[in-house]
Amino acid sequence: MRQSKRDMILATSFFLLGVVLYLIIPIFTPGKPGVLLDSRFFPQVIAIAIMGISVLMFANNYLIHLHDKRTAASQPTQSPQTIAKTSASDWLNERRAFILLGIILLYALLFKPLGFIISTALATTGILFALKVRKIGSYVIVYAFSAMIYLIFKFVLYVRLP
Amino acid sequence: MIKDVIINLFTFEHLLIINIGLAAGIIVGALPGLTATMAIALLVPITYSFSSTAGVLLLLAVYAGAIYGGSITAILIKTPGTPSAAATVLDGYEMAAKGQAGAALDMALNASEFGGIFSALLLIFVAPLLAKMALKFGPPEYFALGIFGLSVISSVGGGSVYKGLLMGMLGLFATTIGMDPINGIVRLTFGIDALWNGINVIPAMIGLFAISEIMQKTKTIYDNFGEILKVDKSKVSLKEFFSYWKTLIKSSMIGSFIGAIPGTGAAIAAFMAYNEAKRSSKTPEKFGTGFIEGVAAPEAANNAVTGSAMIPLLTLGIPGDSVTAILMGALIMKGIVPGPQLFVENKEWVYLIMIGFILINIFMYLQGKLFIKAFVNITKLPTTILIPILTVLCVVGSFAVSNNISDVFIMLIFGLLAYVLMKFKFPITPMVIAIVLGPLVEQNLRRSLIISEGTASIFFTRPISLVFLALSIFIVIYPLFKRLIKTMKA
Repeated sequence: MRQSKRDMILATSFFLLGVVLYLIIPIFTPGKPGVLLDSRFFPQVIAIAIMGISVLMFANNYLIHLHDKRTAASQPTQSPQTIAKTSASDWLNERRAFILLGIILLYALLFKPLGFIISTALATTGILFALKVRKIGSYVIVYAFSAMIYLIFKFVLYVRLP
Repeated sequence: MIKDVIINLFTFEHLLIINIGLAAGIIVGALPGLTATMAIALLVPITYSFSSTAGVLLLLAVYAGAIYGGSITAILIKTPGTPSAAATVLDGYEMAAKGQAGAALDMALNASEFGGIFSALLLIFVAPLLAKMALKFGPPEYFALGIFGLSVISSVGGGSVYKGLLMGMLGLFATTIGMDPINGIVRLTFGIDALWNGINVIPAMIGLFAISEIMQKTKTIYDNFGEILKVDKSKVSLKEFFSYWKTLIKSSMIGSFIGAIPGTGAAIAAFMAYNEAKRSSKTPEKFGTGFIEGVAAPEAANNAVTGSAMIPLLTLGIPGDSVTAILMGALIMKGIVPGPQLFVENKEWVYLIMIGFILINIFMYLQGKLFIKAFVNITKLPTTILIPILTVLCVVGSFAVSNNISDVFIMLIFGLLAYVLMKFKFPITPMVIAIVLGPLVEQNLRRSLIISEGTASIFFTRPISLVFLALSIFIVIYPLFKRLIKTMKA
């Protein structure tokens, strides 16, 4: 999909986000009847600004789209094979990034119930394993650094870690 | 007062902190893909238990160190450690390939030192004058300045100004969650008690810069950065160094000027200085072939940004880029509110930052001279080992803000948001700056309207706010206008 088309969809999504925010602000913010400058005022100004900027972004990209359409013939296109190859490797890289995010989420969930030492050992092992690290030395270095972080935060910075 | 500041700076604790910060900054800067912003975001939680002075010195040292550190990998493996060192690659790597890596690294260090001290001196002389002017600002001027800052930052990033502005608005919206700063009403918490005190700035920044960068890094984890070239014994003599005095001064001036403009940054300054040095050179054909002047120009310029970037932060309370935005968050956390009042009420802080910057640059020179080989060896650390270590730092750092696990989830949400939006080419910096500026913008907007009894004319009848708002409107409308003319011509 062309960048301008994608940006028009994004602009529309942001416009809808602005509308949703504008509508939910009164539900989640107590206001004062008859008072303009209450707690709802600034969030509502932002919601309106999001809608306004989205309209400008849409218009700008619509003009780009029109311009591109007129000059489309001169632009080279990628072959289907190249596109398929690129998207397959992109997907693999993307999957790795989201696996990491999933491990961090699990780490955050287990951080308090299991405590720093066990949750960190599990999370770092999980990450190294997901990154296909097989060298024992790498695991030892990561555990040593994690222990150092624990000691610094607990005994030098006096942070109460679980 | 200056004497007291100097005595305060020259304690064992502060000198040690400066050197630790510098070493950490140089290492992070030298590791490809890790930026100065990420280093500072990760180290802010470490400063919680430090004294205010020690905390600020640590962060400033990391900042200066990271900008210099980027040049090490730029010269030795043709991969800039930080974006600010991208211009150094052009001649630095060519020099190293010719067997002059030592001389290239030496010039990078000397030029960084020159640029850093130049901008620290500029900060000492220019900042008080600007602050004096800013003391006349009232709520309408501050509101207009905040909006102008956001518009400029959204427009100079190189991408779409509208995407930048939308990110800014999302950042501003995030600051409205929690307690209303004027009448104390709790708003937009969506029934989540942990949000009563609002979104904590530091976990949000760790998410925006560190988590998103770590996720990005996993995608290039198996990329081969190439062989690290050996550091030979070639050096640059003082005589040779000062033979480029014109380029050094010009590049430092370019860096200082660019650094003081919100939203620009060290990478732009370095390329501008490189181009200017090439343009004005008698031998422009030598640039790009391993010419030492091609290392001096970008390195003087990118480190000159570090001091001057503090000018809008200290004098106006407006952070010019993501690094100074995080520094501002850290300063506020320590009870120091940047802005013109700082020059009246906490003058010692201003001098501490200014003199501290000079001291940091002197130690940076010593560390660069003595430990360059050790820093080069650390860059060999594989990314696969860095990722789990950085992840632990992110989680522990966010948790340490208020010993609350909800801050870790806030970090994750912002990290995911940044990662996804970056895919669609949305810039992160406007959002960070909006998160820091949000309370200032809201309070001054509402105060102005209370003063004017609800009429917006107050912003357009005062010359300074009128100019700032007119410029902001121009920044927003201009791209659309330009596009319209281009389409009509096609």
